[in-house]
Amino acid sequence: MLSSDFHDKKKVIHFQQATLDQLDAGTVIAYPKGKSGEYRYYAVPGFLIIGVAKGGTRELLNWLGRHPNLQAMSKEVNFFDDVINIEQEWQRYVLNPHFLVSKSREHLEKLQKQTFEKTPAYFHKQNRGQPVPAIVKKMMPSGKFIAILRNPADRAYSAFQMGKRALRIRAPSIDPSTDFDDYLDKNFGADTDSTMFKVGKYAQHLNNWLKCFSRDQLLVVFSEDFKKKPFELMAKVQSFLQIPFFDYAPLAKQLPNGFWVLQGQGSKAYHPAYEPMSDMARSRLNEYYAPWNEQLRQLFPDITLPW
Amino acid sequence: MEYKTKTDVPGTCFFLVNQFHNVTNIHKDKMNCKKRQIVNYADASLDKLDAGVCVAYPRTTGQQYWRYYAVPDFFIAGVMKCGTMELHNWLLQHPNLCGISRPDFFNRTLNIEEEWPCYVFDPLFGISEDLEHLNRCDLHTFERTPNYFAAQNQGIHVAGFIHKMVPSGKFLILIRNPTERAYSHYQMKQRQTSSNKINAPECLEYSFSDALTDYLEKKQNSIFSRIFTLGHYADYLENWFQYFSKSQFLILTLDEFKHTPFVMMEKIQQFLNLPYFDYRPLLQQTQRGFWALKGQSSKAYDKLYEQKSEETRQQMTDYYKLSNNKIIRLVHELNVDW
Repeated sequence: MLSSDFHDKKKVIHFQQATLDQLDAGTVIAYPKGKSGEYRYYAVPGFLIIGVAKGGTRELLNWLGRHPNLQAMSKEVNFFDDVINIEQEWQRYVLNPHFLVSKSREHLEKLQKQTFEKTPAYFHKQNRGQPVPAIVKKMMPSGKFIAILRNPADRAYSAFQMGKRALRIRAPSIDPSTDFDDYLDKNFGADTDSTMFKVGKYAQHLNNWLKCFSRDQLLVVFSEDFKKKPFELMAKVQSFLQIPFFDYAPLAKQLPNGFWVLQGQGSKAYHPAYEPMSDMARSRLNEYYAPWNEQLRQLFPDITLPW
Repeated sequence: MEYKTKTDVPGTCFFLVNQFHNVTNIHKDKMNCKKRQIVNYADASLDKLDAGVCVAYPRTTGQQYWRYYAVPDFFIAGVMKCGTMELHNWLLQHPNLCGISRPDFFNRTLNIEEEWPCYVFDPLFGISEDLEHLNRCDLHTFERTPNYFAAQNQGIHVAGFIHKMVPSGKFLILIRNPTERAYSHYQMKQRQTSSNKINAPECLEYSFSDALTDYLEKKQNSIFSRIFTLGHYADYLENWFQYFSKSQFLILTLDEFKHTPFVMMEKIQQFLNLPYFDYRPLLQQTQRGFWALKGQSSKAYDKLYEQKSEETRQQMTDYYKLSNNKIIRLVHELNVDW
């Protein structure tokens, strides 16, 4: 069907002549192999999973990574939110072994593969005063972007739980004995700027993305739908990406807690559920996010929020 | 440099981080190698890097945030078809290690003085975002590129390029009976050609013994030369020893990996000064009697290839005889019966 689309616009640039303004989503950089005539081909991502943190981006990446036409960068790159000078530093992003798609021109010609990565920080962060989408646009103006959103109250609570754990790259930022209600008492107010609460103002952040990219470059999906009807969601994502349809049903199984997971792949769906947050905390958060949810409905009238 | 940065006072951490970075830059040579060396990205250049050095890249949210990328402590630098992927997967299970597979950087880079950030800022080398965590975590990075073993770049052995960035690096080299290696290499080329990954139709036309005959007759000009020359391990190791001391290498055999994997893993952990990690709970025995990581694919489950004819085997054994004697002289601790 539409799969030839990607193939047609495949553009190959030699590394030594390449500059940032020649790049776009799916552009291939040919890096010479030393011996004359041979190259290694690296593809600029066709799309990014831009967020949100605690919305199930890892799970979505793992599912998409199984698609025969997609190739994932397994770890969060944090490139566009950190990079100081993208004109000079784009090489370290593109020439990454995870974006290496081919080692021969013949193979490349036949290949229909898009690379992608997920970095939830892209959704809401600024890079030295500039919104991240403005920097992304410099490398991939025709890129596509997927945001997976979740009830912002649940998201904040999940972020709080994560703050109490030692991560592989960071020590805990919240004392593990802290109670969520106490934490809200101390840290929560209408003017709060903490990332834990700020990410959930989805309309605000998506607006920044829509200032740089058109509406049809952005797909908004929901964690709640991923949990209940993952195959429908994956079909939607595939048609957005214009890639051949791949049936995930044979790869998946349902857990007793209702989540669908890929067989033979780790998933947070196996983790025991947290103690639920108190009704008090939930109503405080719901009240806080109500105007932002309303704005989100206005921004995307065609989308029904599942919360 | 003993910093106890456990502090709840905002701002203090900012001060300590800055001071730490400055001090590090000025007194780098006085730092004990056990303490993490940190170089600011703004001051970083190739000659300031070495095994385990962290490059601190400033993050956007303000001056007090950095992301720390660690230069690899060690390399699995070959040899192709000797179990390097399996070893890589085992090492990834070690709680103190983060690794990447096949960056193929040092054998390809056109200008390492300018391109080193492409290598060091790999997201998988980004081991920390927090100085306190970094100093406590004892995480080390490594990479596996089997091609390094015999590679040249711009007419120089790849070891020369690695030495520019990682002079005190360590190297794990897996080898196996060169006859078996060549046969496995040939099989791989056949598989890759049938699945169109590479274009080597000659592998479908020539049987293994034809390939050997072709190589023995033509040597340099044979399309199969790489399959057979890679087995002269000693010759390649001598190239490496021109740049690095022998004590920086641990030469391992696929036989010991197959038959005494736990002893071998202990040997590796000792060589790399890593905290001891017990692999036994992660492993299960395959039908062929090998050990493989549970829940992960491994070539140990694959069927054995069809055997070579006795005649071909004898030809190969004769061909590698001198070379095998040489490696036994070069690497004394090696225990092989090829």
